[in-house]
Amino acid sequence: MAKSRTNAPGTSRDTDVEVGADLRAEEAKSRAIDTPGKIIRRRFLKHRMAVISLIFFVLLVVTVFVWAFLLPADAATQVDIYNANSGPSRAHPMGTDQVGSDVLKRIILGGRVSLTVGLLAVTIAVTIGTIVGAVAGYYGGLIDNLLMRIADMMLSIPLLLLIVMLAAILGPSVRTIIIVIGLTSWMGISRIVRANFLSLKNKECVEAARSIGVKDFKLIFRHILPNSTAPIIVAATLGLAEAVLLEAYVSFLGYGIQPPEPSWGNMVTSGGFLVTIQQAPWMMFFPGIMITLTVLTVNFIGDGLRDALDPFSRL
Amino acid sequence: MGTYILRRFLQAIPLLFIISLALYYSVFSLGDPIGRLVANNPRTTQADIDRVKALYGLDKPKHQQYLHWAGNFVRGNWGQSLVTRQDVRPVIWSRLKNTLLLMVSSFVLTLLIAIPTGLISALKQYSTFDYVVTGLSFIFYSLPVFFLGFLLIYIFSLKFFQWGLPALPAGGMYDLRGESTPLQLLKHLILPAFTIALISAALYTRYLRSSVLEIMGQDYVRTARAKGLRESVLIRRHVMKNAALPLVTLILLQVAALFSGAVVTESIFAWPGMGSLFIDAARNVDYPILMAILVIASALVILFNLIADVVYAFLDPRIKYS
Repeated sequence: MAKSRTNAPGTSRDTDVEVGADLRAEEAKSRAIDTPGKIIRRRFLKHRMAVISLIFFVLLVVTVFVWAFLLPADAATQVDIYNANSGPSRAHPMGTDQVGSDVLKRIILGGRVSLTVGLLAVTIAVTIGTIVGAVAGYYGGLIDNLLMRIADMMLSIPLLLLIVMLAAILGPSVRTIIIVIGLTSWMGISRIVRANFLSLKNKECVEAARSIGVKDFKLIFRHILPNSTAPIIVAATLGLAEAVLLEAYVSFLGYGIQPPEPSWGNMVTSGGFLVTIQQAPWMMFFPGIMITLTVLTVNFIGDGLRDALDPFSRL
Repeated sequence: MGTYILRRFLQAIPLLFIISLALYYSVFSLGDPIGRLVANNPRTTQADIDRVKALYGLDKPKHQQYLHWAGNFVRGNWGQSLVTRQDVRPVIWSRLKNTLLLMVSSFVLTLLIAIPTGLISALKQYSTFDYVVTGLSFIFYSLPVFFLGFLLIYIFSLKFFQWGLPALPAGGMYDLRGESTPLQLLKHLILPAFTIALISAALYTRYLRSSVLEIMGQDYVRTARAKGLRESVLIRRHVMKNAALPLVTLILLQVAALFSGAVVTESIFAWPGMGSLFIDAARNVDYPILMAILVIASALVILFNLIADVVYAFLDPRIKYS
């Protein structure tokens, strides 16, 4: 019989039993509630900045994609020379650029491009990274050595230079930039996945599955991979921030999205000439703020997810 | 130790060889090296194309071309720019100096910012200072380099000039008029160096803060306190020394990122370094320059990774390399 610690002298045995039973019932109830999903949600909600960021980011993505869908296709390139370089006003909340296009509309359409590039590039990087890491970690030996040396090699080349060169050679376009960023950002994830596979592949559950004749392919994807989703999700989130920044850098340098098609990166560039900064600082300010806010919130979300999913990792 | 360094050096050579091979193949199988030359002149005939190809050795098989290029590269003959016909090596050397100047000065600035702020915000955890530093470091870490650069230009070059305050130059290394003095160089260096330093300091501050916090909870810190060591000595001798170790390696491993940051910063501030050379070369798809810069940049990254390992072994006597 569990004795309550607040057992004051003089209380009868009956109430004591009742308190104990109460406590046990309480415990059972809370145990029933705490599914892994619930624990994760509770831990994530504790990270206040992550929650605010998640709300902001979801709103941003929905706004950008819905609004961009509603805007006419040429909204970003409408020329209105009489209203060129005018500051923020009621008609143009973020001002206009040097040919009179509305900066807010360009931000919405540019945001669709920037976010699409970021999301697709990360998808490619995560897919490659997961497969490479899984194969290297699972099979080990020569193939592991080979794949990890390739990752080392790619980590030794300054990424931005490599991306700019590939984009310059292939001819810059949205598709090129997605593929190039995806193909050059998988190394971190592959290392994480590999480390996970190394520690998981000899666990009893995998051993058991192998003993009943499960094939390698199924072992990798059904029995080991689901156990390493947490670090992959965290790395993918932080990778999204990285990819959005990379797109901005490459577009800023002139090898990403080509004007007049807007992206947040090339909008900052076109607002970044000395004369333009002086006459129309809002042209570089608002897209710059959008990139910063996106990267900041995605980083916070990644932080919160790590605390929630993977509290012992030191990424 | 000596043999360890030597062995690592010998391992770096094949790595660099494979990198250059991969770069060479990707460059020449993705693009047409003389396409640009031909496209500029509509009267080019097939015979001309063949002649130019033979001139550059492009009619030979790929592996022969690579070996030819690699042999020349090792011997210091890095070819000529396709556009300006200048020898690549002297051009790159003259630019490399400027890039290194920018990188080293922003690196020193980074440490001057990051070490005090990271240390104080860890020692005064949950103070107002700590909250401000943590918030700022998150923001600066998310700022794109070019956006920060433009903001600094807007405030310190344009607005300061308008307000009659001493404005800083917005680009270049020296004033266009007058003599080039070291003082001018310093004035031109301030904005680009701060642009890089503020952003990398954000990362190091966060990192230093968390590693100092971790060390403060260690048994040996409690022991040192228990034997009556003064707090200043404790921090200098026990905390900083242990926190420096991971920080040094992190910094050395960030060289690739620093290099990328320098490329962007150079093109914001018209700093005549390797980065702006690279961007110009990319615009003209100037293969010899692109290849040389990429190989040199990769070599620098490998070199710094090697230095990181050696410094780590030097600072931490527990690590024995054989």
